[in-house]
Amino acid sequence: MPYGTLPTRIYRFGLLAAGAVLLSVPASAQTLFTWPDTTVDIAAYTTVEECQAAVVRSLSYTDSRRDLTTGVWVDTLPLDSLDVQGPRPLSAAVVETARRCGERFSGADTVSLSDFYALFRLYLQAEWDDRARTLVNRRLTAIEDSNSTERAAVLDSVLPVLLARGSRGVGAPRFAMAEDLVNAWAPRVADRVKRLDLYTAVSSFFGTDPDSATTARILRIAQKVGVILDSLTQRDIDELTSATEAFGDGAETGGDFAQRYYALLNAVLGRQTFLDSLRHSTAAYVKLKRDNWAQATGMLPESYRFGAPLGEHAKPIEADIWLGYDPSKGPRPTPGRVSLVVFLDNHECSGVPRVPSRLQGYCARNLVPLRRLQARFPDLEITVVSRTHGHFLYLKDGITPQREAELTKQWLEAYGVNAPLAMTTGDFMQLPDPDSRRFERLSGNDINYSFGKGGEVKNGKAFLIDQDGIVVRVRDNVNRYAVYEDLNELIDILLEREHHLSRVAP
Amino acid sequence: MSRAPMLGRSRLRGDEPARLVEAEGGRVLSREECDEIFRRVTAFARGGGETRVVLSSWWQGELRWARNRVSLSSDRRHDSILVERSIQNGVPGRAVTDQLDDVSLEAAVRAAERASGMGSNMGHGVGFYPELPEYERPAGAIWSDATYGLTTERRGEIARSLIAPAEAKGMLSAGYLEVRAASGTVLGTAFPELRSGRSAFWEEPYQAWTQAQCSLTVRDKTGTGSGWAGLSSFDWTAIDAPALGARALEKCIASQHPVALEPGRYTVILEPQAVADLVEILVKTFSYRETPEGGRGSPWSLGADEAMKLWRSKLGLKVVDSRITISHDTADPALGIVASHTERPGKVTFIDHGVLTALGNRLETAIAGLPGWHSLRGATGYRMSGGKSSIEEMIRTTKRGLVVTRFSNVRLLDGTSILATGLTRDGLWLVENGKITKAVKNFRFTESPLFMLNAIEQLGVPVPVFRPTRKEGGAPTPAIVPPLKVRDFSFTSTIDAI
Repeated sequence: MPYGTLPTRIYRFGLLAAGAVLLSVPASAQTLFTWPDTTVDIAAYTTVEECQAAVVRSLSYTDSRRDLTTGVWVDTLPLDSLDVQGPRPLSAAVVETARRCGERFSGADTVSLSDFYALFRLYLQAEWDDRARTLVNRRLTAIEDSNSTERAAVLDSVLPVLLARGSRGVGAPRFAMAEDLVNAWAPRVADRVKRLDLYTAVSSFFGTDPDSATTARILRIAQKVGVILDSLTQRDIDELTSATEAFGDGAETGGDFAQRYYALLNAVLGRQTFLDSLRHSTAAYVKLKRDNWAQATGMLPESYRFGAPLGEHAKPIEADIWLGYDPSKGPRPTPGRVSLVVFLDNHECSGVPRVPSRLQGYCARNLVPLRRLQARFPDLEITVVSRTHGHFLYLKDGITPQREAELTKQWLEAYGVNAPLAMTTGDFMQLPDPDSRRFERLSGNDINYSFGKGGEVKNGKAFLIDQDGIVVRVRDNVNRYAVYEDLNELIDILLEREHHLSRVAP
Repeated sequence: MSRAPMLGRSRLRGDEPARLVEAEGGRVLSREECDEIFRRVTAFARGGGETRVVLSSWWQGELRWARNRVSLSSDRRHDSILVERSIQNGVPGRAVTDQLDDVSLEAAVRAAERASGMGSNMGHGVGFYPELPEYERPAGAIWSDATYGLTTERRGEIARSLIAPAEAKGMLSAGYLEVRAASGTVLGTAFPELRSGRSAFWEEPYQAWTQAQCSLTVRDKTGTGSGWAGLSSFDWTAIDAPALGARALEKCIASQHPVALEPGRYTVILEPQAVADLVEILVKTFSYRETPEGGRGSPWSLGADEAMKLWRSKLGLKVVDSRITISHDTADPALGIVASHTERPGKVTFIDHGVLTALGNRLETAIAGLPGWHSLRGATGYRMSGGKSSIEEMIRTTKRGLVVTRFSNVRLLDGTSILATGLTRDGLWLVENGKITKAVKNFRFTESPLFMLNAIEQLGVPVPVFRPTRKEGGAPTPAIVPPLKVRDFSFTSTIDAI
């Protein structure tokens, strides 16, 4: 029989049929990549910590989507009036997450206090302010009367949350609740210094210009603070002043007690009082600042924030290479001009980019706001101070100081900053071989503009100098906050004075 | 859906060729194939942004035998295509595939794009950036046609030639023979306007390399004697397999019926393989100077310099015997080092006559703070200096000591002193009054290569040693080291393993 026996033929036919079926299936019908289901099941979260984690994830996701969908690089934008008020309310999605997850813990009267802090935050995130208030009062009521240390500790931990300080993720600050809590419970804190600390914490606010409600709150607090201050012993005052931080003229709020009391006094006086004094003269402005400082710390006015150059004479800028300016015309800052001296160094923000993702304008948060200042105040004399490092970003082969200066100028101009560049060179040392590391020495500008404090002047630090060469304001960072903080108003006033003087001068 | 065209070779079961090594196209991706895959991946990209592709492939032909019989013979290969997409304002998203057809590549691109969209980043390319520097990979001999062309049949013949003598003597032979080839490149599209050459410095031009290794152990049937020999090189012709077989057999016969000795400190004559086994943990510490100079723990940390406000390393200090120099040269044809294109070219001396003169560094460190502008990964291959003494002369001049074939299971105990522990294996002999007198049972040692290199009595002529790369597709780390006679080597206990 041809083609084998019947069973063999059936077997072979079956093979052929199977082969025909297989060959007819498209060989390229592979499974394409599909994204796994990443939906979060809130119902599976059974503890408060898990709920907190869900809210934080929701917050991070919302923030990142905002940047992605708008394509807007927020860091370089000027602050708007809402932003100046501090953290905003949470988005509806985040609140909803907090509510759905926190539903099982929503009985503020009955829920266990063992997770007090996390629950307190969760209630605020869910915008259950009444429940948060009930919970914290329950917590404080549970403390024995004699244990004022624990009471102070509880208030110490809830106040930063209510004031939206440092701990992100609870939305807008609850000043009213904070003040009510402190008014109700601070009198039962035995330690007067601690009580003072609590009152001054509640006096904080965002931005530089308190609104009327904030001003009223500050005035109420100031009365209570005044009463406590009058009762302090010398030992109490020593304890307060030893905790004083004395570096620069940085943020007017936050930090230790002396800083906050100083800010409180400034706020009670009101910013306009300071601005009016500056309209009169820089010396009056400096005197007012120093006197407030002396009152806050009990130290001499001359010791105002040791190392802060307010009221100091700014020395001429030294440079080995000037680009955009002819040094034969005279020193910078130019006498008779209002000046802004800005120390900028791309090595601190960009570093040596090693991957393409690092070539994304890491220095823009300083340079774009500086460009805005430059555009807003054409009469403001801006000078950028920098130094050579032997390389520019990743470029080192064949680099010279002149080339490095030109590249730095190009870098500034790429962001629209057309100010003259003062570059110092040769101020480094090389360790002997085989170590061979290069270390930058302090330049003359570092020494002159540290005003006795020592160390190099950090990237982004800006000095506002009046027409008499007196330092009026120092900012640690020329970022977007610099564009709308009192720096703008100070520049306005100084320029106005400069114009007035130029009109009346013979 | 129409069938997507394949690249060079067929991957479907029905189309698989009978002999893989003769498949159309090479066993590793060629430069042209890498460029073609890159072109296809970038063509699939949607939504703008940048694309980066990391391509790597390896082939490995291996043969393993035990108890005088071949137990494994295989040819394996693998391609890996990592696709990274950075869409405007998105973070880099990555996906990996090992399939080269259009459908798979497109799916990988889509997955990477999806991942990129999950996060956000700052504006791309904002600001001014000068032209990217161009680096040229240091020249090196790392490819051998002899290695690449060692066929399965030829490997079998070699194994038979190694097994037969041992079997004839009534011994049991076990061994491993491997040849491999690998290639890789990193290509990207970011910042075309800044490039002067093909590759940005954060990418990697194409390179391919080979490696061969042959090692065998011969044991007697009573389980008391064991001898080992092995060698690795990028070039198969540098490996004399019959000589290795003869040496392993000779050591096995000589190590039968060992006697137990008291542990303690002995003068030891370390064969080159033993030296390399212990020195390896030392040369691994040459990797990054940023560790000691960042104030973190390292054997090369000197401590804080309060006056200058920085952390010091031991660069410039004498750390070992002045007869020791450890260096590497990427162009050294006897070593065969696979180097990155940003790596420092030419000879780098890590220890120069006992003085620590170089440690590895990252590219950023070099540009920002050191004289050059290259990176250095450390002693990715090295050559150690030696002397003129032969092992026989070392034995002849030893009153009482031990000859060590090699160490195994070396484990680091303390990172600062590089104190390590491990075992002697495959041949340990007692020397008395200038002669080998008996085989000795193996010891566990607790010793530091730093201490060892400070207690040298004699050095021999440096030779290549066995330094296999265990990682599939990994680059080799070759070494050329001398035999050493060292005093006061610490053995802490006897072991039963042979």
